[in-house]
Amino acid sequence: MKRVVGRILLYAAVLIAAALVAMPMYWLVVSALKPSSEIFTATPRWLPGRIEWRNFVNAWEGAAFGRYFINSVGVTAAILFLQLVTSSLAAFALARRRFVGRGFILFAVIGALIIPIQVTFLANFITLQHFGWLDSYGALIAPFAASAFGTFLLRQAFLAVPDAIEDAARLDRCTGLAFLWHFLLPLARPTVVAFVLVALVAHWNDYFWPLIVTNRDQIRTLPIGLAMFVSQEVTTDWNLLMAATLFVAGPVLIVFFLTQRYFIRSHVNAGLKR
Amino acid sequence: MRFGRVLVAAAIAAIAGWTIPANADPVALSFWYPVDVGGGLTKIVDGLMADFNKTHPGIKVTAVYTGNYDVTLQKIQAGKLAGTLPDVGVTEISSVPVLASLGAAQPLDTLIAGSGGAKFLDKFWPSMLLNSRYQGKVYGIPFQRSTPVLYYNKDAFKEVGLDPNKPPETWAEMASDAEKLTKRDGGRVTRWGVELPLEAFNWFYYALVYQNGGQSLSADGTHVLWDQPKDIGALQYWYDLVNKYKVTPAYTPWNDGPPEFVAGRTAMIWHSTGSQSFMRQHVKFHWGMGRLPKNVQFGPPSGGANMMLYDTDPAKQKAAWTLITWLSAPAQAARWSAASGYLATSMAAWNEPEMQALVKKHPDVLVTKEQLKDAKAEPASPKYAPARDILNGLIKAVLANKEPLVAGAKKATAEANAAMAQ
Repeated sequence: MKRVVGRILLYAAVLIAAALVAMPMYWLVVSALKPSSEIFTATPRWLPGRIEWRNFVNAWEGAAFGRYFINSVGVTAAILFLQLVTSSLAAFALARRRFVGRGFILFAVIGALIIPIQVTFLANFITLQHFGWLDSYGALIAPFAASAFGTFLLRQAFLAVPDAIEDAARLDRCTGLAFLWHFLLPLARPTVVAFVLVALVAHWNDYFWPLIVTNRDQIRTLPIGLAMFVSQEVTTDWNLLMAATLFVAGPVLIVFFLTQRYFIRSHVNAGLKR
Repeated sequence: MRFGRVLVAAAIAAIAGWTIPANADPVALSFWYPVDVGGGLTKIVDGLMADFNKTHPGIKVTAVYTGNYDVTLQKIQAGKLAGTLPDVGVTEISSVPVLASLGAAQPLDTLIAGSGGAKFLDKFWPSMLLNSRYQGKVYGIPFQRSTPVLYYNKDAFKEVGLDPNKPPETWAEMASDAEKLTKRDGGRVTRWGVELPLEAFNWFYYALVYQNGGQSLSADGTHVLWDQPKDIGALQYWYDLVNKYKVTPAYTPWNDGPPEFVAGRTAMIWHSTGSQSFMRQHVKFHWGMGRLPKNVQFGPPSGGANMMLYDTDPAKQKAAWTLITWLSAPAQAARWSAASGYLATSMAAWNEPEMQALVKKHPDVLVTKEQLKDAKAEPASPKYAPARDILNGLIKAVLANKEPLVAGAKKATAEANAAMAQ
């Protein structure tokens, strides 16, 4: 009996938590389907009175979303790839090698974590201008090729790998980068996956930087298209904004659902190994 | 004979070659603009630029969408430091002193003199030039301009026994109309009497101060006057609408206002003239527009954005000025106004067919024209940005009863003046 009550309470709590997460998603989808006269009503409308498929057409035509989508995928993928390469190499050195100035470099990396983009944007902007890279893919990717967050996170994960494993690997002539590739990265997989997801969301959603450094639709990314629907002076068409939000948020949600299983499994595996 | 003909032909070719450079590259211009509204306006801007390029073979303009007003300003400020300024940029009117004092925007007086001088400027509504100057020189040419108006629900007016053709004209009338229009279900308000949405630029605070006969910024732009009696009186009226008559919510986010009016959750609302097209598209009941009410005077604040020129090279300046004058000519001003809901900037634009058609279809639009004769400047100075944010915080805190009005205004005034003095 006690167990049954406990179960019911547990399920109730889980349901409430799930509802809290799912509600905004539900509202997003429903609002994207409503005609604008139903967006603000005295009592909330849980279902659209009339489904307005035109919203998606109007939203899609409101900005160059097709081009923005290709750019977002390319830019985000390039950033993630570069961040993984630079972060894992830096983390490898910081976690498993001794050299002069290691403590200072680690300190600098941690310091870089707390500096917001508003502080660095002007310096980065002017640097890119000197390179002649403004208004190019290089401007969208290069400033994010290294990640203090990723370096720190992977360093912590690499530290947790016992020295005995490295010694054993060395006997099999697996050293240096081979050790990083064959041992450290697979062992740190949960951290790597978590880092990729966080970085994916951050760079996929980035709005300010791409808007500042680009002047052409051909190289702009999805959040800029989304922002074209938000007005600072005149009113916003919320239903179109929600439809456009689905274009932008949809791919990330799909990636999350696809990797979620893998994400959880890698946690479980990591637990078993220890 | 034949030789002579060849000679003449060669001479003609040589002269033509001197005077008309064959296949010269057109002057390339960039035009940065911050419009939005459902993505539709980017299309209208692109259409205008395509027509400009067609009719001006020596110039090729590329229009670039640059985000909202704040980000556009940041992009231009960064562009000044990196040397990547646009040729022409559209920014919110209070940015004129900011970008002029930075040395980014260029004074236009010489170019204006070449286009007719005072006669050129006289074509605009005088109130639209109030935010154009910095230190005596003209920098901004009106482009997407607006003032706030009062939108009201005529059906709701009828329902409570008010004359649907007589929107309130004074503060007192607006408060008493709003009391009649507010509907309550127990303790819950199901329809507000009037909403004054708040945005980052504090538009309606300036409106109330002007209506009360005051100023919110000193004439030299160095200090704010929010602790002065007329400014206190303005905020007091807003406070009373919220907390004494209880006919206005303490806070309505700017973008929520028009949809709430559409949904019938407020019977009257102050909003930008730029929201007309949204209202026309979505409102299902009878509605109208009125001037913002007066207390001692009518005083709608100016809003929207001006065009400014950033080139220093004379050839580019000339091309950029051609673009600016073309866009502000009556035909283009009318086309832009009719499509966007922004106000036609030149007086002659109202005689253009697009505007005539609009007036015929929506006679109410004349209210927006009528109101322009009373319009006042938007407070602006090179260092006003922090003050703007402090004022925004003050309004929110006072209306929500989190801070006492007079003491709060004094504190905010001191804070803003200190921030502007830095």
